[in-house]
Amino acid sequence: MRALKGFLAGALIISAAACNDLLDVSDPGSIQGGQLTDPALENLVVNGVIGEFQVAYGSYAFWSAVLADELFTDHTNVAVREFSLHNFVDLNDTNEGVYVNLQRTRQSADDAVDRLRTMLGAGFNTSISAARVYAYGAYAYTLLAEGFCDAPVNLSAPLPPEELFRRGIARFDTAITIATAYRSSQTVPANVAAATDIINMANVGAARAALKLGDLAKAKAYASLVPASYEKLALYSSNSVRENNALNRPARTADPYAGVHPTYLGLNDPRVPALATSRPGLNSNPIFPPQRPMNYVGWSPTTVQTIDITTNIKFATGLEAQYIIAEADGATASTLSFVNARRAVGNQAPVNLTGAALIAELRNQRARDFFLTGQRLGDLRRYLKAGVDMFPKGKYPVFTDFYGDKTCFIVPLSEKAGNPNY
Amino acid sequence: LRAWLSVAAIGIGAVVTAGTAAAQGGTITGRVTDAASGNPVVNAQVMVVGTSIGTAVDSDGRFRLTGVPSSARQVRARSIGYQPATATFSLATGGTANVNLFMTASATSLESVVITGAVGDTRRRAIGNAVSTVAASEVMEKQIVSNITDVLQAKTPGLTLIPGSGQVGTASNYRLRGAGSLYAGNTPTIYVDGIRVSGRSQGNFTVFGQETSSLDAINPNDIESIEVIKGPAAATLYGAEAAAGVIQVITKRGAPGKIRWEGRYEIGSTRWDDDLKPVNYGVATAARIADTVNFPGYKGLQVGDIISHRAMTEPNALRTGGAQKFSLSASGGTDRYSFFVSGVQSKEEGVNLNNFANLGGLRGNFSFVPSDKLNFSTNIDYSRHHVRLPLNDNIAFGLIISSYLAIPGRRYAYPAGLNHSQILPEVANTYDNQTRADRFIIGTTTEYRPFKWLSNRLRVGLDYNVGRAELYFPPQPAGLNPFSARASFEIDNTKGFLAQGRPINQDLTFNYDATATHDLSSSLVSNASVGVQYLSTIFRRTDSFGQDLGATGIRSIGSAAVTTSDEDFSEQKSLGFYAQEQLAWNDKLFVTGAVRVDNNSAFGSELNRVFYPKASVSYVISEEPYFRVPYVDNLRLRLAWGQAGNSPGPFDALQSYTTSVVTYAAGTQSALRYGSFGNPNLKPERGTEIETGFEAGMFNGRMNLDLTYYNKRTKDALLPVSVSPSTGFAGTRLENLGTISNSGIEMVLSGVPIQRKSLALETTLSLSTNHNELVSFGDDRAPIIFGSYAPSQRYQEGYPLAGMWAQRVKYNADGSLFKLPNGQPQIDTASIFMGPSVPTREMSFSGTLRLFDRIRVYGLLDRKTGHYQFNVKDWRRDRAGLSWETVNPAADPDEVLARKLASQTYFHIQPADFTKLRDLSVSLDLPMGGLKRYADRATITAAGHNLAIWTKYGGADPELNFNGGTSTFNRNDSWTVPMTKRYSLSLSVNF
Repeated sequence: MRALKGFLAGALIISAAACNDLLDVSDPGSIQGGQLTDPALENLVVNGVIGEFQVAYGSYAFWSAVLADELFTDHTNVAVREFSLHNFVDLNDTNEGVYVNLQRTRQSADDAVDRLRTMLGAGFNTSISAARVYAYGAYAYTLLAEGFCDAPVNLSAPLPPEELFRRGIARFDTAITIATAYRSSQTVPANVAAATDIINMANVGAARAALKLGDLAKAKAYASLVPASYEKLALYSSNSVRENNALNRPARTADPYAGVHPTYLGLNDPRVPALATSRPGLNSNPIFPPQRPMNYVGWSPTTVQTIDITTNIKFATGLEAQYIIAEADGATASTLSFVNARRAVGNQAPVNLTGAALIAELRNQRARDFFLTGQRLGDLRRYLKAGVDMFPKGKYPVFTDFYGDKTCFIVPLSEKAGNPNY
Repeated sequence: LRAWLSVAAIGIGAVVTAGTAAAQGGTITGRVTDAASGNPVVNAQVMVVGTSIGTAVDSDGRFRLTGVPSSARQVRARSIGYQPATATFSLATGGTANVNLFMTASATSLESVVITGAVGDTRRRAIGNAVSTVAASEVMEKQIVSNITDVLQAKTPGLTLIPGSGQVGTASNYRLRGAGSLYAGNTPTIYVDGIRVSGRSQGNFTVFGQETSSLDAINPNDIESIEVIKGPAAATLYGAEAAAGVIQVITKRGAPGKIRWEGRYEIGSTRWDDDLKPVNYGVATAARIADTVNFPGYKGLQVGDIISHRAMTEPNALRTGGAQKFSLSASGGTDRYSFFVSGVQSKEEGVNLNNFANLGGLRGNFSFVPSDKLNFSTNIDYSRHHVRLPLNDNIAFGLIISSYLAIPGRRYAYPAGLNHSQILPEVANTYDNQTRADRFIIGTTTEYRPFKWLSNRLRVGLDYNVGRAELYFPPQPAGLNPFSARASFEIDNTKGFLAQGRPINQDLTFNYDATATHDLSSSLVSNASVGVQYLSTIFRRTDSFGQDLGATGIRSIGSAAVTTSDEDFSEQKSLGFYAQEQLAWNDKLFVTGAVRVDNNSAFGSELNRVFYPKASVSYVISEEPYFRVPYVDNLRLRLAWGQAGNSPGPFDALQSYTTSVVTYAAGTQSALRYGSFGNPNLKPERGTEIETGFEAGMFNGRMNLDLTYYNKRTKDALLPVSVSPSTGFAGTRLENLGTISNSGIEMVLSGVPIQRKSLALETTLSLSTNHNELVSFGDDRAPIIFGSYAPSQRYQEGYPLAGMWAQRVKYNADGSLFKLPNGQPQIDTASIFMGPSVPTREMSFSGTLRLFDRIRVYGLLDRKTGHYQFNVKDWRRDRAGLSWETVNPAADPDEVLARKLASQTYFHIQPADFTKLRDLSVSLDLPMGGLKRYADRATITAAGHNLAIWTKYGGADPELNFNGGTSTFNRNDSWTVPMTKRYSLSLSVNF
């Protein structure tokens, strides 16, 4: 018995001492937070922001098109169906997916700023990495503002779009400042070009945010700095589903579920191409899947092409800057000239419009030129704010249901449940 | 197979024979029979009391013991399901004696030994908690079973089995005494001969619903019995991973005596009855009649005519699946050695043409007793499990949804067609998703008793399961292969696609127990036990994907033009110690107290250990002199209280980042990504249970009653707390917040109402209830609403976990349907609680009729009530206007409108009560006549499974779940095969 009691006592003592070595486990797929200030991880951190942005932008380009008037879906999934009907609640998975992607991009950019500041020390203010994460983060703020009714930032109370636009513009400004400082310190042409690229991207983004904030003068000021030929791409690849162009799957010929909204069918405009013959959607309803629009890389004005997994999207362009300048200028002769130049691209005869009609046509051309690039929802919202409601109404194209009244993405329940400010 | 077994058995038999020849002393012969019926007790073991001399009886219940010392006086027989029987004899040196033993059937034998969750004195009389034992070898004599689920089904009160599908090779969900956890799982921990084994999926690529199960790789023919302990009160000694109960599979062992062979051949078929398939209706409209290309079925009809078509009745849609199984085993031994070796080869086809489940296996159980103080046993099991699953369930290109939602008479575009809206059977049947798994379970146990008062047991074991999952699409022109998207990882596979997964699961068990017995006085005995248990689980999976395979027939990732890969890894370890003191007073009153302390790699960094106490009392009151209750032979009272845990997942506590990729013009680079939010304070859920009850034997063993009441409460229940996406992280993190309660009663009443020499009837009535309630979330959150098709289930305080909630259309105050200006109905914002999603009352009744000592007729009725099921099939068919309820000209048009409204579920969340004739079989022991010299016994059995259902449920079968058997809470009757009828014939020969 004495031996037994000894064993018993020993066992409990051993347990109290915690045999931690026996319980060591490995998690080879993870990085701990403390490692992320290592300067060797600078590229990893920057890549994280850009990678998240490209995923978020692709997702936003598709679903904002459904929430606007560019696309509709024929899908068996209830969440997709309700979202497509513009009649959804904060539990909706589709709505949540867009939110999560954009917030992850935004916060990864904000976190990256802090990490790069620690990693780079005094070099931060002349770092192209810092300029990049500011610029991409600013775009995330801008898209949140354009698409969402409101949105919090890192557990804050909900912020209205105007505040999100302002925060976006502030980050674009910082990106421009840092990239400019970096450019002035460089002599290698590639580095100078990289800095210029970020400056142009930030100017387009800042102009976009200012336009939708309603500050046309500021928007024009930024836009005027952008070369007409400038193009910034969101890049996609076949490497993984996450890196695919998000429009490829719903627009695929084999079993599509996204169709071009009747608003854009039959226009004979190569900028808004749809498959010539209908295909059955997932509920077997006939739909016309979208084809590669003008601001997708590889677009051809004469040949309709599919949207591939690897099709890149132009998300910031000199053309957009020109549109912003035209809108800021108003119904001027130069605006008419610009509109007719755009109509020519769409195989449309020139018009001679003035005043509100010209501005309406400018908006019409804008819708076609930036078809499926994530511009339309923000535009519809600002038009609605100005009293022009262009959101689809009435019967949904393929179901017996009718369109609801949602005009913006909403903060999902997952945010509200974990955010003490809700 | 037979050659392998023969070599093994003959080799071992030679040793056995040598051992037997060396024996000296007298000889005892005799027969062991059932006291009631006179039938032989074929599984009885006979031992000479006070010696290690023993043997198993033959198939006629006869035995022969040699080398018996003349000093021996008693021989004892034991068998599962019977009370031990003892007989005395006297034997002269070198003489012979004939002794017959008569055993009384008893489900509550006080002397039987409990293996699971007990140390010290492990006789049932000493255990304060309920332990259910399923005598699997007896089940196999009466039924023809496919897997371990068939063995357990409707035989253990408190164990709810929720099948996923009638497809073969798919998993069932196991739940003991209700759901005690939202997140940490409610599946019992599974042990095989003391070695913890994995119950997870075999790693199949998704078919969008069903899952395979590694438990199906256990050959039911190898199982002697299964013990089930149902909650924390019984499972405390298993620590932080046992709050959901423990199921222990005990495999067969050899017994001293001559080599016993058993061969068994089974053949069977399974089918989906036509009357369980729906009829789709279509109304002739002018447009349909005119469109003879797309609606050929409406040609010549008048507007308003109705045509119909029964789904899934086309050629190639389904088949009658065949099944066959061959198994062979040999067992034997001496008082120093014993062995059991077996092999099995089975093939089972499902009703889908691309569904099968095959199993091949070999087992060897060996025991060696070098001295009275020491014995070793080693169990080695190898199995190869091969399953092919069809695409089904929640996927647009499943065959069932394609058939159930097709407008009759409509020809859809290829790959769909006439009466198939998405896919034709011949195309669906090409879906090629196969999973193979090679599994080794190796365990060795050493028992050492250096002193009479001290016993030690060391057990080490490994469950190593290596899978190979494969999903293949040959190159096909665009549009011909419909599986190009959701069925194949969103990758365009018109050029061919191959996915290969290599899941490896490794469970290591190390267990040491020591028990010291000490007589504190003439009437008080102490059993003090200590033990340590170390468990380690590693799961590793590597997936490779290849696109553009070049040509049909190429099934090599290396040959693909584009390859990608993925990896998954998890590791979890636990270390636990326990100490137990058990006091026995006059072998009638047993008081036990114990504590276990655990640490686990999954605990948060702020937690080092948790303690789980237990206490129990067992009192065999019928052995008191004052106990005089008419007709009651024995009565034992039980009371147990205990705690056990349910640990979080391997890396749930860690906050971490991971890497992903970013696409650049020059290629892909690695990129940082948010991973898990984590929780450093994470700890296991704590289940506390009190159970009490009694076991009574009555009417001279002709009736036994076992009644238990339990009340189980889970605290610190792990709950997912939303991580606000605005933090960059997403999804959820776990916190210990909730409280969940379960209570109920369990009863088993078994009896022998008729016993004659030529006629005996044995019956068992089993009842159980469960009241489950989410007592508290622990925070002020709103109800959690979920559902695969509609918000049909909830976690809501004061209601059962995952209860069914319906959305109803809005009605006016006068009861008429509320309509919007466009004439459409509208959903009422209030949700209606319908009921639990799992049965709350279960009853089974089985009877075995024995005729003329040769014929056995067995039947099992299974009734489950108190729950609701979401009839998704009819919900969708109503919405599509395909059901009779929506096309019937006499139907209430407002009800039709309401049924068609997409968001309403009130009409389709339906009571799921049912009664099933689960099993019916007839067994005949063939007259051996002149064949007796070749075989001891031959039995032929004809059996049917799932033969009839009685239910008011609207669908074909409420007992299925598209989410698959591994899904904890989601319940949907959607696009999967209902439980099929199975007919089988077997021939079993003992020789």
